[in-house]
Amino acid sequence: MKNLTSFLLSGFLAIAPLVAFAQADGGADGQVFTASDLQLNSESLSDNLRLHTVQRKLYSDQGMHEIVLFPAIVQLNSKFTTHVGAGAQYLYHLHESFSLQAMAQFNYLNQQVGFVQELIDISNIQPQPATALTLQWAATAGFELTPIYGKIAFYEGGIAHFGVVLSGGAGLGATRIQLTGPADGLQFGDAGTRFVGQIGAGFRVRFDQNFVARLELRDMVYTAQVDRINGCSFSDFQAAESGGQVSGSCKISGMSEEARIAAKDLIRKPSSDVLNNLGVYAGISYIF
Amino acid sequence: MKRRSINRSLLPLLVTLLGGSLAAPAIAHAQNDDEIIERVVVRNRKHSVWNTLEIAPSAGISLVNRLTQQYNFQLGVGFNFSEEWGLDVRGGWALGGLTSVGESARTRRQESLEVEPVDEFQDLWRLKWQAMLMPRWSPIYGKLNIVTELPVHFQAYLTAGGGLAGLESESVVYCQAGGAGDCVDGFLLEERQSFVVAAGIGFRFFVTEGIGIRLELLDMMYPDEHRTGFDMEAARAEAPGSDPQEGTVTSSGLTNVLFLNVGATLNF
Repeated sequence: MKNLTSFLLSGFLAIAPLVAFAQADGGADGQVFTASDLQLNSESLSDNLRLHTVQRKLYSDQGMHEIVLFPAIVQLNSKFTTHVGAGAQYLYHLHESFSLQAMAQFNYLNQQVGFVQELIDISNIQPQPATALTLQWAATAGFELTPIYGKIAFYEGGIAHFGVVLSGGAGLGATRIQLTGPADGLQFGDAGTRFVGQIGAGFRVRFDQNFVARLELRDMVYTAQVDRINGCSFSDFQAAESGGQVSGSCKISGMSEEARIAAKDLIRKPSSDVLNNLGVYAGISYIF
Repeated sequence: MKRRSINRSLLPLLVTLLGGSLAAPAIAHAQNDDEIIERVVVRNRKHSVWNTLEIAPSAGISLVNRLTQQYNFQLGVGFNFSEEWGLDVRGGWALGGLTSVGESARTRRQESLEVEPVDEFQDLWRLKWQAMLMPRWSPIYGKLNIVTELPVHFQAYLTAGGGLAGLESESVVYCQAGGAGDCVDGFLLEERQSFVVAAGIGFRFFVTEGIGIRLELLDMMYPDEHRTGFDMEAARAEAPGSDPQEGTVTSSGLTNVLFLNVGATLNF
């Protein structure tokens, strides 16, 4: 008899959790949480509930690694130059809202816009060389802040968590300048490696545990002082014209005659500027 | 030997199951609670725009200014057929002028009168007014938390449409000076009307019930045309304000103007 009692007790305890789960499922429909109750009360119960529902984060970032691919980087402020590129970024989330980041980008299209040629053809003016430098690549490191956190719903269905991100960093970038127009075939001259600063702001939308989409505006700020092209100074170009020796840093052999003339004209009066390259960065990242 | 009523090896299992049976309802309840709250937070809209009339004034600046820069002031009147779909009628008035680059190009161009025919610059036409019909799709409703204290509700939307625009062009090259040596106020000023198409993306942040702040990127496109192959000296001989006789008007694609619009939305 006692064995039977033990058997029945064991059986009851064994199925108890299943019964409890089943009751809880049923409770949401009927007794404890009805959809109408929650819809009516979620916003009006108290301010605390309202804050809680926004503050509560489904996924934690702290201690996570994030790798971002930016297949599309397009310059917005294309007054004299246009840039289109791709990039990759690594982030380590030190805290929920603070992370360290390193970024590399390569602009496979970086040249002057047609408007510059129009200025030359019609009015015989062109932007100062330092103003029309393009950025070939940049590598920066810095930080990212996520001061604003929120949730979005697509229609009444999918819910995603997002953060507004602010980023900053510094690094290096390679610049070049366009020497000839489309009529002579596009030719460029190396304008040297420059210090690059980076600031940005955007959205980071998290769809699930691992995947995040990013849309950001970033401003790459770089200083430009053009007194050498392909390592050649004005006196180098003068020496080359007269058949003399150029300095050791001057790589003039690869330049066409048109490019040499254009380069000499451009650095006749050295120019300097601080350039802002404002771009839209659209990417997707994997977080682990 | 005294018989035990329950096998000793079964005890840990029984205790575990007992504990599980006590904790399970609470866990299940909590999971359900979390899931429902998770879904309700953004589904349960605090601010509804369904079936409301909407008035949306805004001011915008052009973001890429080569030869011209523009400021656009719009008033939108719309109706929200659902939480996601609305239809706006937008009327706008714009003002603008040449940029410093445009002024430099004009000054430099007027320093020498070429014998050979010259062309006018492209993309010189500016908006003067516009009237557009623009459907609006707002599939995303969200909440964000500013510095963990202030919850802000918002909608993200896409809009696209078109209509009619009045355009104005102030020439950089074509000057009618009535035969005078210098061109002061004789730059050719032309007006025309054309269709315009626009597409944009924006956010509406709800401040209070019925009042919001709108932030929008709106690209407006209209056909461009410019005068080509004209004699500057002959043009200078024309009387200021007269119909231009030199050159031919050539179509040159579309002019794109990207505006950053900031405004308000009022729902009744």
